[in-house]
Amino acid sequence: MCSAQINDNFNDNSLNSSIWSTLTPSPGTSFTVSETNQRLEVTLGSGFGGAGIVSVAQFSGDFDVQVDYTLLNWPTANSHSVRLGAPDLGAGPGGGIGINRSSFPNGGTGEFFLLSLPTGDPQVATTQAQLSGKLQLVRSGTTMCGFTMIGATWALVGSGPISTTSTRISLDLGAGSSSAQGGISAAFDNFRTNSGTLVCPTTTTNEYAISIANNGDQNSGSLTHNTIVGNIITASKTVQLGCVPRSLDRTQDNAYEYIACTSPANGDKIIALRTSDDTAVFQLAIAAPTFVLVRPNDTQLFVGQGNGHVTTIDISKRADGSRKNVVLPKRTITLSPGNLVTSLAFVPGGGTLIVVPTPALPSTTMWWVTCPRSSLHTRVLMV
Amino acid sequence: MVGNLPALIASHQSFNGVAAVGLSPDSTKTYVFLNAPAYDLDASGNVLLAGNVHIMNTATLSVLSTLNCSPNPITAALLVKKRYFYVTQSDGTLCTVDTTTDLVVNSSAPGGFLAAEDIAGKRLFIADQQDNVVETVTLGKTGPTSDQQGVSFGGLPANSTVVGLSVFSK
Repeated sequence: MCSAQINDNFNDNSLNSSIWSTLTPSPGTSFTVSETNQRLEVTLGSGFGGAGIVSVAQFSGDFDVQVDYTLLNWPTANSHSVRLGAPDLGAGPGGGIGINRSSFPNGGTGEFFLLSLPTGDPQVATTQAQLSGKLQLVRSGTTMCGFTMIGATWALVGSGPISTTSTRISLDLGAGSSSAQGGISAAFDNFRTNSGTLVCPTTTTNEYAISIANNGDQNSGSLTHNTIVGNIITASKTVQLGCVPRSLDRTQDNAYEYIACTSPANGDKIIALRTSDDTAVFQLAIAAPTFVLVRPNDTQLFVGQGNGHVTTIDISKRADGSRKNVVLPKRTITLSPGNLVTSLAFVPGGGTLIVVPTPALPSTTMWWVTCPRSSLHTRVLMV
Repeated sequence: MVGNLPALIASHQSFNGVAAVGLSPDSTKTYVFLNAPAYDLDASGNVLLAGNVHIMNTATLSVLSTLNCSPNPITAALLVKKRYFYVTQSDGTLCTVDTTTDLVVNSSAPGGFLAAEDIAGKRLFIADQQDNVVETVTLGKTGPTSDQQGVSFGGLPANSTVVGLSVFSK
């Protein structure tokens, strides 16, 4: 999800993931980034590093954005900067492109605003007493301007050439020295887009195709799990089954595939394959399974069999996410022997299972069977 | 408590093998996909034209109408977009039945021996036994007639015959 509008007052105390994502700091950085107290608060531990958030969408051309900041714990000359940045536009001598409220001991500048550009870092001095304010970053054509609000008026910190490349917008707190002290914290609030066109990133969806195949004999077959991105198979894994797969069906959460598999030499069985790693996590010996159907409520597996039975397996979830995989002993539906069950369908809401057997030709009789939630005995009523 | 027991409540006989069965989105109609066209009788006892798709009233199990996809065996049927049954056939035909009109609204020919199918997003994946590949069809925005044949994926074990397919995305 991506929002093509970025205006956020951070008042709901939960970072809006359609607008923002959390920046990934360099390894070893100690930090907290939290939308709390109806604002975004960022705290850094000691040493070099930075943390904050970045927009999901990008500005494709001109833009004008602004944000309020408050310096929550801000000792003099603490070697940190609060930044309204454009992280996809590179860096200059003043660091990543953006408008900063900085505090450094070097150069005698102390407390200052700095616009970091690729070829320069114009600065405007301020004072330690100035612990809150506003930052504004404006790109117009190939020119970037940085402003801060002094009194009720926007004051230009600087301007200069900039790339027209699309860019996300970041709000972050960074330390520019390996000896920077820890515990520095700042808050952002009332981010606003005054102008600009946002473009959401193109998302890539992985598709997972699981196929079962027989090898032409009675005792072997395979399952192939292909990961597909667009028109390319990016990963492929084949699992030998040691039996002939007849049918498969998937749980609603896509976590497991249940496979009906037969083998005179190795035994007939139902296999539960975990799709995350293609591991067979469960095998149940069951005679001549021919068709499997996961009940739409994801709690039962119906197994059609070559002996005319339909066995019900409890596949409801355990607390750890695994499945129970227990045969419900009194829930076997018994049709006439000799009816090989070739297909099953569930009538939603009606608790009725449609059973399609294949008896001796020339005719097929489909059966409608009630499928209650609990029962005491196996029983079939003929009509 | 007889009502709590598995109980056979109805049956329906067809004179040709049933390859697949499915339900309309509201479950009021049951679609029976046959291996070959067959005659049937409606609720009044009238003979319906031979078809390999028989549409039944789920409540009464009377046959409402019959349709014809390609006369060759049907292998699978899948309800897509809560409206269309995509029917695969052994002669490589992909037949589409609209459950709102109960008409065959499209017939395309991905080719091969189509044996199984599943859908992920806007793509239908079809197992082709003859060529040992998985064909794809990109569903059209304006209905089945705007569907487009997609790429074919190999990557299946050599000298094997694909018999089932399950596809999902995330």
